[in-house]
Amino acid sequence: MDQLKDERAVELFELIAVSDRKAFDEFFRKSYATLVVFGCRYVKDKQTASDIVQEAFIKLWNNRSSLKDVELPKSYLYRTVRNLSLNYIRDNANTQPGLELISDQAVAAGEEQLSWADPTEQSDDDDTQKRLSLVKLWISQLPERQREAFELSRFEGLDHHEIADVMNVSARTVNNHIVEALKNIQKIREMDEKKNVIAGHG
Amino acid sequence: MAKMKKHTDDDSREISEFFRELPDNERMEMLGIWNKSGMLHREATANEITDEETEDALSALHNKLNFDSQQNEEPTTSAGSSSKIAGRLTYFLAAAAVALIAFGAWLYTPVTITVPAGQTLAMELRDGSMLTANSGTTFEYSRLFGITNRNISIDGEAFFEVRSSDVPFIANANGSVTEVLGTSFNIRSWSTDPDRETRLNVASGRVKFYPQSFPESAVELTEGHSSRISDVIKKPADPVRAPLSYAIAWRDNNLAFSVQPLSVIFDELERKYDVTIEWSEPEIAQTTLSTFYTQPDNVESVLADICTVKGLTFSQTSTGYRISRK
Repeated sequence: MDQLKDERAVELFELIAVSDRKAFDEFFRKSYATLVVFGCRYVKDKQTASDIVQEAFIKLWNNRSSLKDVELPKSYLYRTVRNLSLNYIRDNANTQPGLELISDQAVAAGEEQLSWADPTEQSDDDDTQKRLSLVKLWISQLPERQREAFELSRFEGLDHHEIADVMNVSARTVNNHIVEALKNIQKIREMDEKKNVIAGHG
Repeated sequence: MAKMKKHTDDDSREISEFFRELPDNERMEMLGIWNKSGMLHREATANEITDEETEDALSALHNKLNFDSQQNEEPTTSAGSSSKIAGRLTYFLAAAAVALIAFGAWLYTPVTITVPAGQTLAMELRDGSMLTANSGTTFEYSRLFGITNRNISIDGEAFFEVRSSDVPFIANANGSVTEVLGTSFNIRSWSTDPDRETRLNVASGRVKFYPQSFPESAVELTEGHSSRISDVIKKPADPVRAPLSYAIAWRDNNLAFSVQPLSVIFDELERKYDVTIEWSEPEIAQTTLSTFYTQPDNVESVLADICTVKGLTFSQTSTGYRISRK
């Protein structure tokens, strides 16, 4: 699937602003998968994430006349999906059985279930896959804000101003989050390695 | 294009500093993590959602936006086939009929009033009853209220002082019915409540209280008693003595909660102070708190107290506040 290039995102936004449905469809096709996986990191459920992404696009279409004023088109949908996901979590906090759904372990489990493809399909690069699921596990143990900033930077390829826009904080804060995240990953990694030496697994 | 300016210089300074300060072997490892995580995540994303799923979602979206039906829509113009009126009389009759229908329609359109956030409303109803409604409350009654009926529905919180009459005064709130002849009582019934609970407190007189779907389960409440109905308990709870001061604290601009989850308290603060309050983790909203504030000056002093008690901290956002763990 093609990644949506920044320049193309700007063009598409300008076309959508004048009600171009083809541009709307192209924008959807190019960003749907990414946004669903992104939303899943919050709501832990593919169908819910899909509904949220569709809702985000409905908002996009309904607000199309004001898109000209959007400075960072790429982060616009991330921000909408993030807000809708956080609202969803908030509104369903009382009805969802088992609050531990949101604990770190569950985050890790959710990640494993969703984000990394069946290793047998990727046997050519098995080692890299294994190392990467380890990295994902480390990331999942980060404090919430650090994790969000790190993932938006590394996984979604957003720059710090776009991340600041998505998370509704300053670019400076984003910077701090990412540096702290790196420091924490380093710590967690060291701890893991010590454990693995003792337990002899890994 | 100015919009597209990347800010990589700003971005990378502190991060490259972090890498520079690592010992050599560590640096390679961490740089590997840094560089490869993005690329491999994108690969995995592409594997996760098939093109077919994307297309399905797109057509679902088209349905929701009515794209297909709109495409065939003719542009509407006012120059259509306006029928010619033959004579003045026909014209007059048609106009009268339209007016009559419009009046009938108007008569059957209920009056809906929503109290703006940050305000309370006191008003006299046509039958002489008094109503005081809390911030964000919506109520609705027929234009024939006080003539053929005394029915009112409410989503929110209100105190009623009902003028005695032979026509029963009936307050509907999220599936609950409170029926009285003449009395005063407080209803708290927010459709946003997790269990859609309706809580009734009677200040004077005698009140009948029952779920819309199950009138046989009605209980009678007298002065100083309280009962509740919710999605969880379908029958009214046995009336208990309850201090009225808590239930009607809002009328004097006080805040009172007994063992309420923070989500309920935050909802109340949002309505009372017209701000949005968000929180970083769902668990935060589920811890409970009992509290009574006498006429708090501002939302920040309330939040500061709650945060101190619960080991939380809050920061200002563009529209309100964000609560997170310390």
